[in-house]
Amino acid sequence: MTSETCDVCVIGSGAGGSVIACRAAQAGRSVVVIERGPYLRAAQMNDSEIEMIPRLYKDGGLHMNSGLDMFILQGTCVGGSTTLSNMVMMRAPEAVLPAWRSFGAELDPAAMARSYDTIERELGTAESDPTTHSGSTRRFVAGARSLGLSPRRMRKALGACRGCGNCNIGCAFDTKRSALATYVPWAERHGARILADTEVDRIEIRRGRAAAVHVRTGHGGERSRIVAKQFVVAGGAINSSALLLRSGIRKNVGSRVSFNAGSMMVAEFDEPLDGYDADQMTWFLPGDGFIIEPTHNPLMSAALTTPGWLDEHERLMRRQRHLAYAGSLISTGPTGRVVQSPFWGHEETRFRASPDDVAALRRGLKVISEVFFAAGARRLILPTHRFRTIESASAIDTIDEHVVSTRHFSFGSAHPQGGNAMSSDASVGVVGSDFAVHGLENLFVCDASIFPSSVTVNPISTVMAIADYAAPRILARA
Amino acid sequence: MTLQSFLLRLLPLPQPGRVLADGEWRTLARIAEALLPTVACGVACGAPSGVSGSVPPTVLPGPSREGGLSPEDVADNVERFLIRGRSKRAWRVRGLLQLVEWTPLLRGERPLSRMTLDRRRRLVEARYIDGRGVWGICAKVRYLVLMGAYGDARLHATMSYVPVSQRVRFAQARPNGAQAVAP
Repeated sequence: MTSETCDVCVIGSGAGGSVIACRAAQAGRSVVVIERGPYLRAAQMNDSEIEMIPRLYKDGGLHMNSGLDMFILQGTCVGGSTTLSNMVMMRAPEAVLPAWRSFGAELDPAAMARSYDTIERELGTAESDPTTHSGSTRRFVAGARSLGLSPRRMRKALGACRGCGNCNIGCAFDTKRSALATYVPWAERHGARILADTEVDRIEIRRGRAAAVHVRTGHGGERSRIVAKQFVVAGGAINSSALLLRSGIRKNVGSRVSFNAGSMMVAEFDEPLDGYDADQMTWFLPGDGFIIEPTHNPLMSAALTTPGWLDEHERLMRRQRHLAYAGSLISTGPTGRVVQSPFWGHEETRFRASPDDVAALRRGLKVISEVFFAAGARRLILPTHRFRTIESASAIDTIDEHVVSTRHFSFGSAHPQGGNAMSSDASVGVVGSDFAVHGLENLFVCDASIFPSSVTVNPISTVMAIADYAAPRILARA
Repeated sequence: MTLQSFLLRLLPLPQPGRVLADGEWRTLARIAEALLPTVACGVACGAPSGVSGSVPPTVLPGPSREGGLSPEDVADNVERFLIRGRSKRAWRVRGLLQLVEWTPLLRGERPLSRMTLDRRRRLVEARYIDGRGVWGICAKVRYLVLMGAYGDARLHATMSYVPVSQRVRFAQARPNGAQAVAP
């Protein structure tokens, strides 16, 4: 077994890990970043979903909760989920930091605001470019406005985006300001080493300190050990908890998992909208316990999100040019749990949407329906496994009958959070407000897993801002 | 012993370089044939009557995509997907395909790959769509089949979908669509 040493070992290269690695390298520390997935540059990306998804997504995109009624999508590649995200940069709503504080996560609001500013400036965050808005999203916005609602343009970090609509399989044009295109290369420029295709088996703990991580690299699984003065776990929600559990750190670990999760409604229009030929996601509509995000996907992902079986599904797929999609996104309660399952042989995510979660989801689906009918949709298709349509606005309330249990409609999340909740109170939290795991002074966690509850909006901006906030505090502890 | 290690001992060994055993691959092809009307009769089939896919006016002339997509192609695409992903949950897919193959016995039917196409379709309609109990687990195979079919470029034109590399407006700034990803 080989061994190497560094000042700071960062586990994970996504929204949290890349920012920490960059700041540590800029501060002159020797940095090693360990990433389980591959290092795919833009030149190695193409427009084939069936080629890119298994390379970029955790478990090839096959990850579900233990009840098999919820998809959970996360990136496993250099840049993490930012590589395949839409880089929607929403700050945590005002109520979130006080709610976290009441749980014991004492983040300084003024310093967090400065970190948001820094990240947004460095990534060139701006309102979505109107020239990249899709025909289907424009129809949604017009429909919402005709009902007196107030949709808002998203702020995004896409650089000189050409609006190809393939954000979720990596940016082949290399314009998206993901960690892959920004903080990772910036860290490398200051000497950080990226170990891709490398999986951490466990963290070695000795006398109240993290001493090393044991890793396996490549297909052959060559084993090595990395010794560092400080370790920052930033593998994302679920993965970071799983690593701590594998390392024998168990107190509160894996608890308080929450999600931004949702379901997609499909609207069929008479005229072609060509929703796929534009930025996937540019506007949102906030509501009572939900957010609506009109979106569109390339063909394979569209097939997976389009309801129906057999001929019904195929008829809809042949009408791709005429379809518009919108998701109702809710923030679930922190009721999920990551466990190291002796039965399955790997980590499992236990979560069941509560009746309140599903009620909020239904409210969002109803608003989507009203908006699409106001926009001129011919009919709407519910996200239920059995093919069900709504043919007029007067039938919208049938959603209450059909969207009841996640066993009977499509439900998924690309935003898992929690599992290593931050609280200065060691009896409920995993890390303190200094980001250190309670009882281990040189082991830190800095990613969405430290959120005590859902941030309620797309979390990348908050994860990056928290990493910017955490970096000087962690480095000062060396 | 975990369920994973137990199942891996029980399941037939795949050929070297593959992740699915022959029988699992055959089950996948047969369920794809049942789930995908177009694929069952070859991509060259027209659209169902009264529903035509209009061709967008923005398509670059590109290489011909002639040739139908068969259920076996769909199974191959799914297997390549699993190989590329190196998913530690791939064994679950194998378990799922075994379940899909053998659960028809619960209804006094033959194993799925030995049922006629008509019977397979009726099984899907009768059991998969409402998805109660073990049938709900079997129904997850829909996602694999849709990936294997709609991820294949041969189906794009039929569905009036134009991939980025064939859109006129990207002609001067082509992404890496034409490049193969290094294995």
